[in-house]
Amino acid sequence: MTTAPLPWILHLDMDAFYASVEQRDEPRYRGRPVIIGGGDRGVVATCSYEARKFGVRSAMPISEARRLCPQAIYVMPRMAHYQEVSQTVMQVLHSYSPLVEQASIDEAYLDFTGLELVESDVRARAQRLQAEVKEATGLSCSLGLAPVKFLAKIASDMHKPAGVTVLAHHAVPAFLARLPVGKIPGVGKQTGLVLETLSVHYAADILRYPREFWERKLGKAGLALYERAQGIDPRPVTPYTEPKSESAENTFDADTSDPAVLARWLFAQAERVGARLRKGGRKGRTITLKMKFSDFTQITRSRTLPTATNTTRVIYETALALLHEQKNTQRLRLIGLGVSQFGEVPRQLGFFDTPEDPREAKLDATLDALREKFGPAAIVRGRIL
Amino acid sequence: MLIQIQKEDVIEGLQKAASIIPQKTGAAYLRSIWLRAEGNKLELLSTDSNIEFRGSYTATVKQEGLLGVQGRAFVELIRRLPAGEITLRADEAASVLHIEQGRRQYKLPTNDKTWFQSFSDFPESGAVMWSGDFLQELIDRVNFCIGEEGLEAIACMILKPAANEKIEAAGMNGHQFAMIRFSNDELRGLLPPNGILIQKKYLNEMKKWLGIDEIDVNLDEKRLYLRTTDKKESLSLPLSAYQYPDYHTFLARLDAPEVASLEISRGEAQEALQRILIFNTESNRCTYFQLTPTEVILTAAGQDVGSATETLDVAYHGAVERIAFPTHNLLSLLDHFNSAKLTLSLTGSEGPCGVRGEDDAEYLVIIMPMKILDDTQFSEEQV
Repeated sequence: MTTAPLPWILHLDMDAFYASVEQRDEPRYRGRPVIIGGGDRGVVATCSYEARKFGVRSAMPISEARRLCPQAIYVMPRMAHYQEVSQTVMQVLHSYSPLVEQASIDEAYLDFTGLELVESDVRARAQRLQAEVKEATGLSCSLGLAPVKFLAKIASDMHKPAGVTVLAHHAVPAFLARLPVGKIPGVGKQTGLVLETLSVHYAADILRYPREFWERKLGKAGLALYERAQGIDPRPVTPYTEPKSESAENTFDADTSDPAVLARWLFAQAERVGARLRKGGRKGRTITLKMKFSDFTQITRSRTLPTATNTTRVIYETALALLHEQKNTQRLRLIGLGVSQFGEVPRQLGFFDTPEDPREAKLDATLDALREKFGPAAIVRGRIL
Repeated sequence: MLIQIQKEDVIEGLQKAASIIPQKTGAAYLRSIWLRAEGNKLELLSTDSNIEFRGSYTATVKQEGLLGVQGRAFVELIRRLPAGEITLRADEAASVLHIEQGRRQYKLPTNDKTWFQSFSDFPESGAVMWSGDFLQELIDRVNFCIGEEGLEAIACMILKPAANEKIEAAGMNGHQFAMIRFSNDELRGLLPPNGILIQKKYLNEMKKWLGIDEIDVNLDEKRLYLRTTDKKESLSLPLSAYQYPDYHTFLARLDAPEVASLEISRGEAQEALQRILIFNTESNRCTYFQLTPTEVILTAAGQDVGSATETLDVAYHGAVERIAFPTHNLLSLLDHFNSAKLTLSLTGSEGPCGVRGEDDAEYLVIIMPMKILDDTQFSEEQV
């Protein structure tokens, strides 16, 4: 009689991804604190391990980071470049398992179930994967191997950087007995306070209260927490799917309702989004405008075009029209636009269709090529100066 | 009012009057059919505030009068009564109309006759005679191309004087166009130089009303009037005053020397397209035409519905190698021709395509093709 193979989920987390890419590309940055993020009202996207020693963390306001680590090198993120590196990482992962779920630009889950039938030492296999990622990208990553997703994610964080942590099936109960509840994904500040008042410090402590108690206390999140405390996580590894939209947004230095400023930002965003679409060979039909007001309320407005586009002008003009139709008088804290509904749908041509101007596509392609070669600031359209 | 009518004399007129009444309206005036008893006639009048119907029918009038009744209820009641004599008696004090037939008695509330508004009279001067049958056919052959939505101007049929002493009737939406040219000197003389525009919704009402008999037609600045030659029934409707798009720009493209020409059998194409339609989906509703000098290969495919390929013998010359049309629209277009053989003039794979038939003199339909997308179909095969 054969038994079903034990489930194994691997979680990969690139170590200080953006900062490591910058340090890889620029030797002068190596060994120095590097902080990715820009502007005075922005936040830290990520930072190198050298910067973390000064207390700098992801999502921290840049102003705070500057206070903690003024000597750091501050670098504006190069998202398109990180995307490319990320794709290389994903290619390596796909050579190990057909079931790869990209959770973010620098994180992924792999279903390793059954691989121990091929190679009994799953740790050795994981280490080989880690070495291959290093070879392909020059970057280090940390890996966690566990029976379920959330444990794999916790495990990958245990020996950073460049660690491989294997949490065997038989070790799960003991692991949960000593796992601080704050480590469970989803337990944030608010839930942490609730757990603190109940003297729930470790995952196993959660089981002191029945399922119904947690449901009453925290709703669906309570049920999930009760499951996690038993090492249960029913979420499968869902293979990566193509992105469904491209977007860009900006938070203003100071809230504004100035139509000229808003239009300028929309144009800059249309350029960024258009360039990414063109690079990926994609066109989208739905343009979405996002506005966050000074009171932090947020609205989106969308328009679906008869034909898909990746032309900067069309994206910009559609978003601008949506902005004008809004007749907004409030000051905006953030404005953004996105393009979705990728792909052309077959449509009947019209007697009065205006043909696409090939010069526009040519202009976009030329600007894309110049920026690719000389950097994003190499050439700027007059209207956003 | 006190009159006696024969159901058979009035029921058709009543149904025509009722069809004009709007389905939903808050105005009692518009929900009404007006009955006017005068001499030895019962006149029925109804309107939706734009289109007006008047019909005059034989009745024994014992007491003349005018009243309005809730149209749909009144017509439905008369329709359901057995054939024979029906007495209509108004009780003005009680504002009700008594409807009696033998031992059957009904009462319907009536509208105050002060609510009655005059209907347009058919202008006798300058009226011309036209074939109802031909007008019906003309509407049928143009109307299917007229848009339901979009620009108001193109939700109309245009009827205008054309070159060579002809009249042209044309209709279009954004993707299709139909035009028929015909001769009628009297009517041509009646039309203003820029022609008249009749909204699609009125064309539908006209078509319902028209019979095969000849009719009198007249115009004034704002309305078109149609009347049976026995003067018993008339219909009048408002004309539209939009700027109609200049369709001659794309008509001219069909006669350029580089235009490709495809001769096909209408019947064979219809049958093939009906089968191909099965393989169309909501997201892919077209048939692809692969053109060679002697054959056209028709294909359609959908990710979940399979694929269809048919080959038709044709005579083709031209540079267009591949073109796609929405299958349903193409079928509808073919249904409006009578000819066994049709000639398609292709101005390009993304340009207008004109369709003419050898037995459909002066009839032209233009259809715009589909935007051809590079479509990749995936299939798995055992190798």
